[in-house]
Amino acid sequence: MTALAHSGAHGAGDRAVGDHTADEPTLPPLATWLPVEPCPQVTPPGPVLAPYLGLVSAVLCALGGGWLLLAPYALDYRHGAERTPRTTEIDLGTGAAVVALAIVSALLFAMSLARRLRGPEAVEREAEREPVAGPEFGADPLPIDGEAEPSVLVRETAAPETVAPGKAVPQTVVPEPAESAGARESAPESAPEPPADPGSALRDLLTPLVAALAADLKSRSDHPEGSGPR
Amino acid sequence: MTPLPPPAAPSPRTPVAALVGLALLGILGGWLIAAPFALGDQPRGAAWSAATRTDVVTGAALAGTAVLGLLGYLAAAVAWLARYGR
Repeated sequence: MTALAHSGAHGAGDRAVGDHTADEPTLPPLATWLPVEPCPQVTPPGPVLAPYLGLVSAVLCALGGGWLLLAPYALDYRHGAERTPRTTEIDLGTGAAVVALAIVSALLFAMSLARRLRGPEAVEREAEREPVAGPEFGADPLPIDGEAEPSVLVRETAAPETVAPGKAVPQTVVPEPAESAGARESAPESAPEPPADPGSALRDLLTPLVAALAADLKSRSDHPEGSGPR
Repeated sequence: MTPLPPPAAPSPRTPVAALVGLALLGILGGWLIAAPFALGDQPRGAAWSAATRTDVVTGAALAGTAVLGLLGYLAAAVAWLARYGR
């Protein structure tokens, strides 16, 4: 009962498909089903809070050092004595050292903060300048920017060797309409795919399913309703 | 098919010299607190002079600010590494 209702519900749609193309089922292009463009990875922000806290602390210490330089005169440590007391000398010397150290630290923290606020590219360039330990002996080499992984290279280069030049490369077993096939031929010239396409695995996974669906639709269009296998 | 690694941010260079300067500021604050008593300018048991009060208060403020700055830097760096580090 359910099978009859199912075939009856899809009967009109099957006739429409059969009227459109008698021998080929109409399916939307595979590129419209699957995500072709990889999801953009958002670069996380740099650590700007840490140098900001250091900068604030250094500026506050510089203000404290300035107060140490002014305190002997503001509070009148001499009390009219002819000779400057030792506490005044200690305060002046320590205050000068504190001010100098705080200013240098504040400048260094400010430079670090500005470098991190400049963007992740500057931080990456900075990290590239530092020596990085290479991979261990026998380990797989790291992929270089602009190059694809070896598995991707094998997958991309294996297909053109078996196909004569000038013909379209059959990437899937799904029969497609002429307009979608032409669009796929012109697609690599206009927008080449990235070397490491994360959607290729999904495409490989869904290709047999789409092929089975296409074969099912083709068998339905070849055998009208009621004469097909039950 | 191995899954794609999560996005990681490059770790920037740590301003070691600035952190050392902040630590030296904390040491100078401790010296300011101890100087009146260590050098004998403040007699034991006597009322504190204006210079002693100024040195102790300013030294405590300096040491506290420097230590808080160092701890804040450490906490912020550890929090960033826990969230975005490799």
